[in-house]
Amino acid sequence: MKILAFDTSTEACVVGLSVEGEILEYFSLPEKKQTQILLPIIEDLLNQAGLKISGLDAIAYGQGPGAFTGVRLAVSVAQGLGFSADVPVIGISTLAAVAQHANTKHQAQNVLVAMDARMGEVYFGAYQFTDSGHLQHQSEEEVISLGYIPIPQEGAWVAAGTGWDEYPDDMPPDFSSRVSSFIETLYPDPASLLKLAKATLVNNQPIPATQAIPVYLRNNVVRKPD
Amino acid sequence: MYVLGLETSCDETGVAIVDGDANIIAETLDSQIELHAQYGGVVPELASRDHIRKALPLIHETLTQAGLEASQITGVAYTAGPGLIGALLVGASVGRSLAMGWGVPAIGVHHMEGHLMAVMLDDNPPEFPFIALLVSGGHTMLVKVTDFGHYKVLGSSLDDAVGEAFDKTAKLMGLPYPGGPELAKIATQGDPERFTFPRPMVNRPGLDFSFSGLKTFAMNTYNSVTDSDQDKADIARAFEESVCQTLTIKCARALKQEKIETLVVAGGVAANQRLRQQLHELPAQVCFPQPQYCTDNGVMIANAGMLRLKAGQQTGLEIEVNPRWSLEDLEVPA
Repeated sequence: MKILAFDTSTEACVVGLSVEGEILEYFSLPEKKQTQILLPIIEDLLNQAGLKISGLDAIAYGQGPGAFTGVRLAVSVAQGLGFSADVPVIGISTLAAVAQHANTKHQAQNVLVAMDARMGEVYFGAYQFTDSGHLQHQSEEEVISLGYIPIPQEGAWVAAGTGWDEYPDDMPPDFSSRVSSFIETLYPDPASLLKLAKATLVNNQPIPATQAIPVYLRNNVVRKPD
Repeated sequence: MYVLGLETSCDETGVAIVDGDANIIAETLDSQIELHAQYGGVVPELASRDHIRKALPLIHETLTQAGLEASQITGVAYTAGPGLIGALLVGASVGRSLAMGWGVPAIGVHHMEGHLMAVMLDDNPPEFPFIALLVSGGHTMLVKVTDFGHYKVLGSSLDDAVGEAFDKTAKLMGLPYPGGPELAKIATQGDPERFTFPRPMVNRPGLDFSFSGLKTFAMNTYNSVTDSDQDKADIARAFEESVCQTLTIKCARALKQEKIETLVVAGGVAANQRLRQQLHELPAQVCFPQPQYCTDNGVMIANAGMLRLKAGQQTGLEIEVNPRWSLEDLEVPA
């Protein structure tokens, strides 16, 4: 299988290319804008693999939640590349990708992810993995104040993502006792995007590029006039 | 040569395909007016969210309408500025990626160059040089055009764009969004003798404009009357008359100053009938693009992109937009 995957929902620029199990990857917290480097990196990885867009089985994109413009960058690049060569696309939750990264890196089976959503809120989701590191179950993702996140009552959980440090005063008092550790895994990584993409490709149909849309979670972005 | 053009700089998603001789092969347009109407103005984040839902389906529809295979497209043009940054980024990202996937050149187009060159789509296009009056909700400027890509901005608005002044004045009188066309409609019922509004900056030398004072004058006048339909119509008439005369005086001045005999008018406000009447009285050849190409559209972007690509220019794989991009910073074609 040949899958291209990328995510620009966070400050990171994350690109991975999997060709029959071999992974080419790029990760940076770029000083330049993501818009300036994303397509050159994709082209570079494709060239390294001697592939064209049309040779891909699927294109996976970070669908969000995250920075609105970053989310739209990944989605619109997936739309353009996917449509150009009639390659189907797969939307990957940025939160799930962070959880997958924490699972791979720290063997964390139960992961709570919070990413800063500004305005006193975080993007939040809870993810559980099998022994072999496959995403088995996930909560509904939401944008919420840290003070209102559902705290799991059973199991050993770790917390990942950029959201936890942002609003320490909002943290529920009994939260620390329910979480074994806060880990430094903050961003999606190429291998995690690709792993989630593969699982989706096996279990579900990918969608045509025209159906790729962002997942913002925050939908009240403007106040109506009185 | 077939160039696909994509316009997403504000609240219209426009897609079109033109050939190398500026023939329009297909075009689609989606307006977000209803989406923004309830807020009384364009909400940038909502505009971006709508563009990303509409752009690709419209591209698909345009290709189908054209009866072309994607492999027949030889270039992709997209609006790279000026405009709303988030909205621009959607079009630029989709357009640049499409071109990369198709293996064809891409070009980021200046929105105002699109407007300037739209008149060239006419069956009998004017000859260079000409003076262009660009009047829309976002822009008011006089430009000297000596050739494709050779522009000199002679004057522009120091505050509100003329379309913006129309919309704001309409809004303060409670007219439905977008108020400009509505204001022009009720102005036809207004008494031209009742109020006289100032003609801003006509007594000063130069070709710059200012419309925010006129808007305040309209508000003060409105606050001094009873708010009947006739009052509104009379104010609308006086406001429109003042704007149109001011624009006409400045156009006359620009034509004389530059010793040029052709005036091209573009942008959404170019659809205003009173403005058209007054400008046609100028001692010059006055040209308007067809009404559908006065407002934002994909055709003008495809057309300007086609001309730039023909001149050998193209944009790299970096997705770049410039929300504040001066016409004078454009590369001069070789």
